[in-house]
Amino acid sequence: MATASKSRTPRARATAALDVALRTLAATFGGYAIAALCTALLPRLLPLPRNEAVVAATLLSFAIYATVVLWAFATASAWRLCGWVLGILAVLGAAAWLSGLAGARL
Amino acid sequence: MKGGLRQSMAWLHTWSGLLVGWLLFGIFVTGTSAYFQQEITRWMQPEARGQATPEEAVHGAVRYLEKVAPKAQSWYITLPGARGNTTQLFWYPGAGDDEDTSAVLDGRGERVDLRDTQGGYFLYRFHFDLHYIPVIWARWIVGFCAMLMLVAILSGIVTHKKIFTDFFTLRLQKGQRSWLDAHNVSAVLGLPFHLMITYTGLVTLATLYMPWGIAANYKNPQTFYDTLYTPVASTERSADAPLTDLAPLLRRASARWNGAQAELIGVTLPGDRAATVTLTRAAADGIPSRGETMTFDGATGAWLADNPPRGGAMLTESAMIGLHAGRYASMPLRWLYFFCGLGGSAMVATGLVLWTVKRRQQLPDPTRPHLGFRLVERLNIATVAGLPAGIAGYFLANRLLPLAMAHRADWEIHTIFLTWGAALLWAVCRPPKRAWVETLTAAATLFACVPVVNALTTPRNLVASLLERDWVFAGFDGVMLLLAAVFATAAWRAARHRPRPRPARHAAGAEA
Amino acid sequence: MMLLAALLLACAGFAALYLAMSRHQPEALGRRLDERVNRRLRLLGWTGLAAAYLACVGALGWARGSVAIAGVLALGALVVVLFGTYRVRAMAWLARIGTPCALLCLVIAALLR
Repeated sequence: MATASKSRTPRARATAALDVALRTLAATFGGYAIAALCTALLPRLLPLPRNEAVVAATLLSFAIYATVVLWAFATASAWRLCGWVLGILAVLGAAAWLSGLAGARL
Repeated sequence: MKGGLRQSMAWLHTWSGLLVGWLLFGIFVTGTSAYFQQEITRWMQPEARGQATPEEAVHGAVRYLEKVAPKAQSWYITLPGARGNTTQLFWYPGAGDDEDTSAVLDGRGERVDLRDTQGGYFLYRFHFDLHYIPVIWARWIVGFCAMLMLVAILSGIVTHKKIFTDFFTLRLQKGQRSWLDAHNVSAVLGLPFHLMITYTGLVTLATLYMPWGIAANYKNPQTFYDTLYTPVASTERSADAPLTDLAPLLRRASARWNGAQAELIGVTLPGDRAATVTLTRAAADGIPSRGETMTFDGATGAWLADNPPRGGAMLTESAMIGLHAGRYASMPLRWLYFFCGLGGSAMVATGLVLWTVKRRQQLPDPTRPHLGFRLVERLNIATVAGLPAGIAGYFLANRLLPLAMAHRADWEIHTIFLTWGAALLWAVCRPPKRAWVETLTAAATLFACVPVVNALTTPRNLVASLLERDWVFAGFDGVMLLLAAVFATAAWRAARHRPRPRPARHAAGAEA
Repeated sequence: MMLLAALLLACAGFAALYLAMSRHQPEALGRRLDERVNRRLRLLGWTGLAAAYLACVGALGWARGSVAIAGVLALGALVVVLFGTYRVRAMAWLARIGTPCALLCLVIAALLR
């Protein structure tokens, strides 16, 4: 990909750079935010004692993060990827906010 | 991305690996050395000799602490396990005594005057705390590297087309093909280890990287941590009472833990009626890193509590950290860990070199490469040859710096970075091929010097160690000679290397 | 000693798997084997690897043995790769000699106990 871009026009190169930048941003920050929100929410769903559930969710978080990163670079469209990431974040964030209102902290 | 899954994963593999490759090499190399942390420390403190039994050690430690810090807030005694020969003491001073807070005792409980050194501990700490920068930044940087490593491994698996048909394949003298084969072999053969070590590495600092599970479920994080440990009963002194004999407590704990030994002894309020003694199971006696604990009344010796019960998730976490650190491993298993760690270092190094080998052929003019290429090429030389040379320099400095020197331990550490920096400077100033040969030769020479300088500056030379069956010293010198041989071979091959003319390269490509 | 046995079994197992791949056969054996022999070699190879795992477990217990097998397999495969690169003609010899040597190690381990 990087090698092929050399032969392309400046415009095509700019598009390719934007594509990579979008994916990198979505993967790095979006991936971390998704993993963080999952780690925050999962303990409330797992049928385990609170401290156990927190540890289990934290252990899983890196697998979630890695999955999002791989997905970000595997999927076809960078723009659609960003939409998906924002959508997932909105849903998870709303869930976290609502369960926070419901008094989920010890 | 364009060009299908395999190509986008190849792209991700290349760039995530390259971005953190140099630091990752350092993390891998120093982490690998940390499997022999205690042995390295023993080699770097040649004054400490002999072995100790746990009971002698604990009596000696209590005798010493009662003399030096009788009114301390707490004492921590780390007994010499099977691999160490000294007892480490550490104490939080109470009112009155605050001069020193740590000491090292020999088997009989006498303070030993050791040369000022951080020993293997520095290499272990560098592995996740780096140096010269605040620890918290370092841990985030290392975590970032580890995360990209995980991504690089996973995307690498997708990229590797013929993981089974190429399983045993290592083609020599084929330029790029050989580097690719070497990278594949070191990655695929060690794959279970690489995946395990990367993931469990992230887990060791998980609550730093991912504090959100705790933050979102506990108002005060301390509530969470309190479920992990037995709370301390009292911190106020009441009335004097002599400390109970600790040796019987060690035996009781050992009986309770099916023969596993206690390694760490914590005493709060020593010499007081409210004193408590907490024993922690030795890391060598079980895979989970958070060992079981037993707490006793310090005045009467009565049993008070065990550690809070641990569920499946906590045990999994503890076992993952234990797997990473390998403190449980016996010597043969420890050598396997060491070998796998070297394999990981080789994987990173061959990956870095492969990047340049692959791109050199596509350069418009190979004699005048662009800046990015030159940067990668020079950094590769400085890292792959320079960092090991720096570690050899660390060992040499340990023997050569004057014993009375101020900040001696710090200067041992500066030696690593001075050598490393010199290698970088050399790599920048010289033509790349010559720089490879010269820095690799320098690394080989420095490693070869280590046993020689050891023989000249201490009575514990390789022959004497072999005759005394001192496997720690003999093994250390032996590994240094082996590393010297490896770097000398690499230097020789780099010197003999002739870049292939273009037509031959195309032939090789068509064949592959 | 048991771990050494495990390593030898892993070497023999991987050597058998190496020889079962037809792309390696002209170099290693000077001829191609037919598919039935290949299948038998593959079976032998996997049996060797499974036996290596059991030897690890015998040496260190289930938990540690399961960790050790990862290292033993890596080391065993490396030996086969190096044989394949530098002494490919000796591969058949490695496959044959590995198991008896491993058995010898097991006997010594049993005697030492």
